[in-house]
Amino acid sequence: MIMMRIKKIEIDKNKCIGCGTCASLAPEVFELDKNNKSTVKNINGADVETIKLAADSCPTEAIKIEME
Amino acid sequence: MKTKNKKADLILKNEVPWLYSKNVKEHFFHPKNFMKPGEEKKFKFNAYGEAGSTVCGDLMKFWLWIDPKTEKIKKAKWRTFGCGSAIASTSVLSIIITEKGGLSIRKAALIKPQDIIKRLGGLPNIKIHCSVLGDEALKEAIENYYHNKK
Repeated sequence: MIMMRIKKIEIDKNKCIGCGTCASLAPEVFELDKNNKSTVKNINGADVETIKLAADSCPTEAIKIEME
Repeated sequence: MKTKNKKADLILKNEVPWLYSKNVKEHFFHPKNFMKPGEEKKFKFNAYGEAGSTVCGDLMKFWLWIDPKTEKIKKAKWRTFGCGSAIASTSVLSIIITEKGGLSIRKAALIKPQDIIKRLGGLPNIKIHCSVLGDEALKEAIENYYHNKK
C-alpha cells in the first residue's frame, strides 16, 4: 500500500455552515473559530482516513483535501 | 415492452437497497428510551443537556439519571428534532450509556461519534453530520450534572 499524506486542507468559509461535524470526527484537526466556521488546527492531528471521513461528512462539501 | 416493464418493477421492489444499515432501521422505526410527550414531568433526572445547530435546524435533548454514589448512568431519555439518522444515533447512544448496569460518566464523556457510527453498523458519510449532536447533548448533560452537584 502506498502511504498517502495530506498536503493541504482547504475550507471554503462561505460554504461552511458551522455544524461542527469535522470538529467532532477529528477534533485534533478541525475546530470552529469565533465566527463558528471550521478552521484547520493541526493538519497532522489525525490519520488520513479520519480526515477524509471528516471531509466526506461535510454536508456542504466545504472541505477540500489536497494529497501529496 | 412487457419485459422492460417487468424489469423496472423488479428493480423497484427488490433491487433498490435500503441505504441505512439494519441497526439504523431498527432504531429509527423502534427508538429506544425515547422521552414521550409529557413524560418528563414524571421522569426523575439529575442531569439535562441539549445541543443544536441553528443552521441545520436539528435539536437534541438528553435527560439522565446518574447514580450519585457510583456516578454511573442508570437511566437515559432523549428527544430530537431531527431526521432518521439523528433518531437512530441518539437511540443507540442511549443504549450504549445505560447497558450493562450503566456507563460511568467519565467513560460516557469520552464517547466519540465514530463509536456511535460503529455501533449502528455504519452511516452514509453525508448523514454523519446528523449524528454528531447526540454525543454533544450527552456531554452537556454530564456537565450539567457536575454543575448541579456543586
